[in-house]
Amino acid sequence: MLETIQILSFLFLPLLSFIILIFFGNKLKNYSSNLGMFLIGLMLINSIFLILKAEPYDFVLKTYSKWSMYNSFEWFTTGSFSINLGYFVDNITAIMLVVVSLIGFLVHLYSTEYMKDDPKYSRYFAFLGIFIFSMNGIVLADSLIMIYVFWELVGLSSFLLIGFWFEKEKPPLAANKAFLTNRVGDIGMFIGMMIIFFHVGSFNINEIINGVSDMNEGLLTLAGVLVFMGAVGKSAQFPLHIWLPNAMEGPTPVSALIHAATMVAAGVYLTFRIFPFLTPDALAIVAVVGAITAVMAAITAITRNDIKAVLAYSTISQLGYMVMAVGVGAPVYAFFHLVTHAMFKACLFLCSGSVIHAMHHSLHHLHDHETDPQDMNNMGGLKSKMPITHAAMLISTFAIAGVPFFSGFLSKDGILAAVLSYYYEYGDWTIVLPIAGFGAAMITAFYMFRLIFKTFYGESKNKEIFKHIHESPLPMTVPLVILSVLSFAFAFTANFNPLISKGWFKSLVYKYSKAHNFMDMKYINAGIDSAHYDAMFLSLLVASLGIGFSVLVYLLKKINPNSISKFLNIIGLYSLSKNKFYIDRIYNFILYKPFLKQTQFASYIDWDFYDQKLIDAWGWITLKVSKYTGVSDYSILDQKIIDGTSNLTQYVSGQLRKTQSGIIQNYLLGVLAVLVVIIILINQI
Amino acid sequence: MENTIFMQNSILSLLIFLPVLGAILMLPASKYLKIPNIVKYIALFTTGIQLLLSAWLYINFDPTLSIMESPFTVQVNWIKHFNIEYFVGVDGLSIPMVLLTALLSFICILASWNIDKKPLGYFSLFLLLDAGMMGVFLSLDFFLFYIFWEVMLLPMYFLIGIWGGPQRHYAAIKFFLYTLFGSLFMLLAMIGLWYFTAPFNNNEGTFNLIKLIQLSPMIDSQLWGFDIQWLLWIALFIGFAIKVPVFPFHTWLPLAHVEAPTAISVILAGVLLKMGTYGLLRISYPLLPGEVVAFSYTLAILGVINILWGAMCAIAQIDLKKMVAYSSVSHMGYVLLGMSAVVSPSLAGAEAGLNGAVMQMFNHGTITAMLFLLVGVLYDQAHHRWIVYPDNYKDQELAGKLAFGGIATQMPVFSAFVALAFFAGLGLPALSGFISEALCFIGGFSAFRLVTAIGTLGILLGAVYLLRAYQRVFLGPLNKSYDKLIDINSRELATVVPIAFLVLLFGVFPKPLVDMVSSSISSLVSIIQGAM
Repeated sequence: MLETIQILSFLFLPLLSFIILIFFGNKLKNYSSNLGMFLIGLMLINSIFLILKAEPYDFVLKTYSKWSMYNSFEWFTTGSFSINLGYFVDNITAIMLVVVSLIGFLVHLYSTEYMKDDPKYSRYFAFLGIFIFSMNGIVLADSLIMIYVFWELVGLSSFLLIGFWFEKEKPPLAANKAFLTNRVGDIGMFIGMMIIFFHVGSFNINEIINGVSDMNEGLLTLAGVLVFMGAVGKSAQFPLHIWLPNAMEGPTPVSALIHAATMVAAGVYLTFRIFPFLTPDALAIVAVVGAITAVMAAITAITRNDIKAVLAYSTISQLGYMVMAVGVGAPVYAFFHLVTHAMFKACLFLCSGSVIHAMHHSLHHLHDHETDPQDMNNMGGLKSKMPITHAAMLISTFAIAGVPFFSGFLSKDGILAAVLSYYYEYGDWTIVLPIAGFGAAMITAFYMFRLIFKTFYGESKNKEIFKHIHESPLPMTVPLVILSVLSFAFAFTANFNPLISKGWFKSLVYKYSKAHNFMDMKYINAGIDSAHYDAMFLSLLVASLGIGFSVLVYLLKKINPNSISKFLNIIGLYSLSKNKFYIDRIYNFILYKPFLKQTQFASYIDWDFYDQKLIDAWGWITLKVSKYTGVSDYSILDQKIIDGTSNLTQYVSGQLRKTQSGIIQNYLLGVLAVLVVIIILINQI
Repeated sequence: MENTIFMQNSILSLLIFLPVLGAILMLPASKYLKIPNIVKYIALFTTGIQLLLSAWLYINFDPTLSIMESPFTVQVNWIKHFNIEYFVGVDGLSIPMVLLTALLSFICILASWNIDKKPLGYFSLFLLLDAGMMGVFLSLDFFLFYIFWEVMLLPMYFLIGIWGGPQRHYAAIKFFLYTLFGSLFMLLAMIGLWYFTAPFNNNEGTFNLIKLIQLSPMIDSQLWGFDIQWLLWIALFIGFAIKVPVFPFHTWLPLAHVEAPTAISVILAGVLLKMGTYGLLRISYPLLPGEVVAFSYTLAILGVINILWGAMCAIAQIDLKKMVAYSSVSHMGYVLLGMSAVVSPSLAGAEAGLNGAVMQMFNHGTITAMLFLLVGVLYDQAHHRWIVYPDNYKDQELAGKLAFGGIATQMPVFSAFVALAFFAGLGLPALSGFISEALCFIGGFSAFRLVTAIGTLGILLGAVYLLRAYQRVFLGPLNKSYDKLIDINSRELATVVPIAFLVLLFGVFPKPLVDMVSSSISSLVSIIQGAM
């Protein structure tokens, strides 16, 4: 009972925050954030208590306990069909809850300053509340249908927060794009879920894992890929990644929480949860999708000038990494990367928010409403003005670039080892996976340092703006410091040796590297371990290449970036990157526009043609026919036949009238004649 | 104790005839009592009592009892010569519809408060309409059913034709003729059932729908080379399909919905459409189970066509009300798809589908009512409801331009309710539409995989038209011509809030709704599956 309350409080605390703030936010005004922060703070404490209960793997004795908590309630039942809602808490859930609560709390704190003067201040915190509620729902869910329910609800909160500044032109469009693109993936997820349900008879994930074994493998592959489609939408994987860059229209702290650290990682979380029953074929598709996404987004990120756009594409690329890792059979490294990425990417976004905030204030001071505060071409040299932001951003950039001593190095290294061993195992076309992995790693290092150098180093591009730049106040810098501390490898291993990835984190998640329905995970793990040193060597190499190149181009300016772009454009790479691989335009050209035309055509057919012409033709025909029946009724039947009869009568009687002579002899003659006829007739009988 | 028994026996008749009484009372009251708005108060009072009675019925309703066991059932002879009975009763299939009718009638009276053109006519006709609707949902004698079905038609004709929009005459006559055309087939089927089942009932024809469940499957002769059962099914289907409306009988709907005054659109979409599917479930399904089995695949296909075609047309609409009207075509498709699931090889799937269908009937009733009410609120102030001005707009400067924009800035509370209604319409979990749509899909999928998989595209298309409309009308920079709009007032809030509450309640906690219908559904499923 107590346990259930403890778990359900993860749902009720943020929901309470939402309900109170949406109804009484106007009265609470600036206290709204305090209330939200208090409730999320309670949740954070709760999550820490929870993770202390999680039981680690003992690397020495090689034992682990199956610590988990679960409970479910019947939602409704219709005779033989029922749906249960329940929670399932294990080590992974506990870690996720800490991540969501921690970043949620820090974003609340940060937003108190960032959103300070916004007229919809309390509504903003209300929306954060409903987001955290729905996100925790996904994390706690024990069944696919419950994941789907909360999946849609995070979609709603994402819609509300992207479109938060709805009085502007672009945010509502971006919000719609996000919601609709996600729904494409959700359709797949829903169908996949139904296929599985009618074979296993349950939506519960653990029951599915135990029950799918006798399912036809082709069908299971299809179902798995379809469920994965949900993740493709939510985690912005190719070809549904198009919504995430636009989602940057939302407030920057929101981008940090939802569109970098937590919600977009939900897709990876889902793939992680369903990993045990994904068939090898389905996993291969997952890996390829991840690889394409990782490379494509990384290439696109190089040519972005908007500081948030760089981070958006970098998020897509990193999510691609995680998805690829699940695909090649290393879900634990995917999850590890999910957590480290949540920390350093939230930090990066909050840093960019700090920079934008400073730029914005400076521009405001100058009454300049033209200059774009997010364009890196207007920045430069901010290091001296914003030392804390700079330090935090540099640390998290080291982490994402995969530099030793930082968290990203450990998790990325694991993924790259897994990808490499996958290639060692299968050979052939699978070489594209390590190429994508290492290639993207190099590009990531390059563009992230490009961002750092363009923003914080060199000469400031605009002296006027530069003059009024100030470091952000404490509520904004404290989260930066905390998150950058958590971007050190030490935070996850408690060990100063950068090459050792074992630690509290790995011991908590280790057991999840062992379970799969169709594959021998021991064998796969052994492969990953043996590929480990090759991967580490290569990843250090590509990271230093990327960083070195970036230093040459953007810090020391030894190489002119234009000449590189010209060089790359020989194979069209530069224009591809600049135009985001033309994907938005292609969709516009082959999907949106023809589709809207089609709907107009459908509407035309339905109304102007079918109804107005065909259906109303019945009315028209009836009218015509009735006109003719009317004509025949009156002119023929009535006038000719009916009236004809009476005319005839009249004529006959007119003729007969002539016999009415009034002469008595004539009448007697007539009577006599009749008598004679009667007598004759009687005699006949 | 005696009071309870009296109440039990009379409640259904009260539900039906109370509005008639109200309508009759109005005539002298409006003439002799010089109280302003007396007609409106009588209407409000009558529908209010009706709502309370239906609540009492709901509280005392036991879903596990069949119609013949239920204490509310009343069965007396009416026209002995033809074995026509006054036979009314309530079960899990009809109770959600009764509650919906009572609720929406009451709300619609509130929503009609600003009707000033011939109020006596409007409100008395409205009460007659109310009586007709209640009668349809409670009748268990086919003849009685048919009479109420027709009784409802006439007030509707006048309500659209007199109080409607610019094209009201055309819309009213089209609605009337189209529906009458359907009724004709229903009449034929009714007489056919009476005639052809007589040999199995001591040569006595009957309209008793409960008896006919046993009798009609025995019909085994042919007429003009067709199976009589098949002919009966087709005739009934045409009659009901026009009401649903099933593609391709749906084009009366957008016109009638758009031209009708707000409250009448609410009744049309909220209650009248459900009569079609209710008729199928009440009459066609149990009486002709063999034909249901044969026809279910077609039904699934028609359902999916409704879903997709309705949504496609809705996307293209530039009139907000017409868009909502087409969304009804789409949403009724879910009901058809769910109904087709009855032949599913999996019992769970069949029950999920049929329960989903009945729940969707209720949930669409509430959601679409909310949509129409809210569109009406905007129309009352702005005097138009274009999303985009049409190309042939009278003011050529504006043609093809966005008509509204940024209304959410000006009317925040109103826009929040519209957002709630739109999200309910696109099937967001935690709002009632989701559960019923999901159940319809789950059921449909268990029976017809490919067709249903294609139908799930409706999940996307529904979101497309609603969100596009929301963005174009309510979001973005405020259109300066509308900076005088006033936010939703308390009377309008009173019409929307109860529905919003139900939408949220049944979205989060669907159990009461499911428990109400599921046992009747189970027996219906077993009738059909027995014929497979």
